[in-house]
Amino acid sequence: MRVHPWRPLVALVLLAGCSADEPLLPSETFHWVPQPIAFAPPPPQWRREGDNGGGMLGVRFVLTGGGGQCIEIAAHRGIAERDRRDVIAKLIARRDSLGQNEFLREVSLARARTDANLSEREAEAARTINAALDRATSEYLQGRPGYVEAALYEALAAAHAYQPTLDDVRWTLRLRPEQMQEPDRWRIGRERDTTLAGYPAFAGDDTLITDERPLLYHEIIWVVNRCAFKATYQGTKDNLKTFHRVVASVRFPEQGDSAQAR
Amino acid sequence: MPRHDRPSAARRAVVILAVVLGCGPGTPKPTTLLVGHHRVVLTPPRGWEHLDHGREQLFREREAELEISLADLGPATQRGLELEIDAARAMWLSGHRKDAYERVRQLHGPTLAFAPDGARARFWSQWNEVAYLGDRADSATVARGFQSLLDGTRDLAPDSLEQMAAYVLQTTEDQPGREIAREERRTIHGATWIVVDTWSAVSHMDRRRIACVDDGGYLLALRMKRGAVERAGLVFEGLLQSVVAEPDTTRTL
Repeated sequence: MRVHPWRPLVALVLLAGCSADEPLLPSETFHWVPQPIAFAPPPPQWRREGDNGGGMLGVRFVLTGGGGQCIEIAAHRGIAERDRRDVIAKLIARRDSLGQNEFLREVSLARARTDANLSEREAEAARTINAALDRATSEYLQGRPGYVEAALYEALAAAHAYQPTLDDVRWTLRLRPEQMQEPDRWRIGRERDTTLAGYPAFAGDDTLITDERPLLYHEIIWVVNRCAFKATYQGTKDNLKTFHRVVASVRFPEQGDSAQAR
Repeated sequence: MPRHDRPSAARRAVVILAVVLGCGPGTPKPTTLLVGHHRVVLTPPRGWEHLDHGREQLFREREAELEISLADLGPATQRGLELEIDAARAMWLSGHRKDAYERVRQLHGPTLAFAPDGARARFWSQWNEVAYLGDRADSATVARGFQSLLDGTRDLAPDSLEQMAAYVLQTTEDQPGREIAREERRTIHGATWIVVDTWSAVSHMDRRRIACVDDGGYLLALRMKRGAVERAGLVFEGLLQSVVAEPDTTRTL
């Protein structure tokens, strides 16, 4: 069969032209932190990779043959782990069945982190929680179970009282050129507060200067139910539409969604 | 080649499917295997190595990158536990006391694994005394111990296929960090299987599949041990569709 010499070229051009409008994959729900996130991944030419670094846990989609273009959606595991509510509630429920060593160990594990706090509000909450847990330990050793219970409930109340906000996490999650390997390659651009997926969000439109060409570097940050999420796009203007479609598909389902983490 | 000599696309697809599913010329014949307590008829995947490890039958691609296991994972239900305890008691009555104790010691399965702490403690309480006495336990004490185990099984919660699948996943290596992607019941040759796909909780990649069935009280599990669904899925499905668990006439209760 005779194939016209320019037919493959036309097919390639059509394919390239259609890629930005190619349908996204069916929506998937991820359980990286207690708050699930659902979104429709980009088409298959964006190769998927797991990402677990820098405190973030998520998934990165790298455009095949795209010279470093990628879309990443991830949760900040460290921020989710700072939430002390569950661990203190479990300690209250189990306190009568624990031996002395176990109890003291569990109390020490329930303590809030006081290093690298997200904000002064969080640092204050952490100090209140730890002071109440110290009191619980002291009362326990003096054999006063009623006071132990009161101190544990006080710690739980302090843990409930603090809720991280977008402002709290922005400093931790936002691109900071001075922290990158080659700070001069990054240009901070437009920053704005917006609403995406039904939640307040922070968006930053920056630029990464590579040897070949400048690339857009866009970030979106959410805080939902004490969990922080970030969507990042690094790529050309042509593929930005795909990123916007992925972001438009983002949902934050109720906790305890169908898939079961194990 | 003239156009009319070409096989139609549909015909080619049927031939490819037949070859992939192992229905083409030179298809391996169904084989009867003993998998622990199970007598199973299945069609081994063509070109794959078969290793008979007794309780576990391994089917391995020549390069050993893909591996599927069919295994007996022990008592699946209260009935299976009763059969095991009864078999241990028969051992003891035939004079093999230590073997009988060991068989009791190795009791496992979803019924025990997912029982509440209290129910599990009640199940073992009287037998623990027998085990503590060891050779010093008189026959009456041992007999009471066996009877208490049999009575104790009735106290354990009834088993569901979902519970069995959870047990299979728990006993399959490399499960931490994975989550269930899909779970469905399927009837194959009259038996109800549960088929579960898991994937990496982080990336939703590396999809793997297990399937299990309660075969007369014992758990028969087909598991992908090496390779993901994308590569081993067709072979797994072919194997699963071919498995017929035949009644084992030696089981009594």
